[in-house]
Amino acid sequence: MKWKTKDADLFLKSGEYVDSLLIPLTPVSFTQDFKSSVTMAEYTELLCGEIERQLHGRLFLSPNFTYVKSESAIEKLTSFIEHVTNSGHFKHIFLMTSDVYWKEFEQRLSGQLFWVPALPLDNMDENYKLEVVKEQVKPLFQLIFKDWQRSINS
Amino acid sequence: MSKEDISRRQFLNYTLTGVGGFMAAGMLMPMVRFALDPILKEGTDQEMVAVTSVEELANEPKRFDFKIKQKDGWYESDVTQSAWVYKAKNGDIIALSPVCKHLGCTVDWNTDPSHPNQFFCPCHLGRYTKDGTNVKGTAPLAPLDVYDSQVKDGKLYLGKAKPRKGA
Repeated sequence: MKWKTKDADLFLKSGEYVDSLLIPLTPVSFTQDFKSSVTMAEYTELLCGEIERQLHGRLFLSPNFTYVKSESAIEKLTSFIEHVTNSGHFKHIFLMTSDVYWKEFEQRLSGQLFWVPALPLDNMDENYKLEVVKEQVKPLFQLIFKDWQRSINS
Repeated sequence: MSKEDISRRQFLNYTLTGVGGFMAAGMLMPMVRFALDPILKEGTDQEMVAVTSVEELANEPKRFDFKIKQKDGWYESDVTQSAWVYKAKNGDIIALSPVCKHLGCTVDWNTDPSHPNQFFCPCHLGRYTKDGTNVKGTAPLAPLDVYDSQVKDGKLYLGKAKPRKGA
């Protein structure tokens, strides 16, 4: 489900089936990292979009978590995740990013971090792009399913 | 010089009616066009999209991804859609929509080891038989949608996914 009114209504109606939240983490910069932050955001959104499409009924795609690199982004994210957990809706939290910044905080985050380095897709043929995204997303599904499985067994 | 066969008054009358008529027509035409617009509008049915060549199809369902143009208000975007396509025993080509009828996840073929040869939805463990009928007792309450399909010059074209009556 996406951050859209149509999906929000569905969420209100059948919220008990939706227990996973996917948060795209995208840096914002208008100085020297401008182009790379746009590439990262585009790539992260593409992957998140594909995951959302396939797991529409159980996974909610959060709006992008955007941050400026110099500030203490980790604190902000922690309090955001805290808010999400306290809402009681989501048992599984997944974080998707292309920004290596988060890698060092992986242990501190109370959610599973998917760090996928961005590929420059802008010059790619449409069909090929589709293929690449599909392949990139495949192992992520395995991780998500494993996380779901764990909660059944425990 | 012969007598004028048209008077100044008549001449002015004719010109004024003519110009007035033009102006009235200019105002009325768009209104009439607006009123008739829904009738003149072309069918908004989604056009058929070429997905694959027929030779690639087998008895085992295969997944194909394709893009369609979707209009969302003013915003037009390319949306990826998938279809599970297979050839039935009698040669019919069957294209099922992979969108689970429960809450809209994408179902997969033959991925649940304990229930082989069924469509399986990883989200809430919904299952469908090969022809798309939902298995009773699992989450979904209706069979998978079927795409309008057409074969032309050895290529398979898919249109809109249409719902079926539940089992």
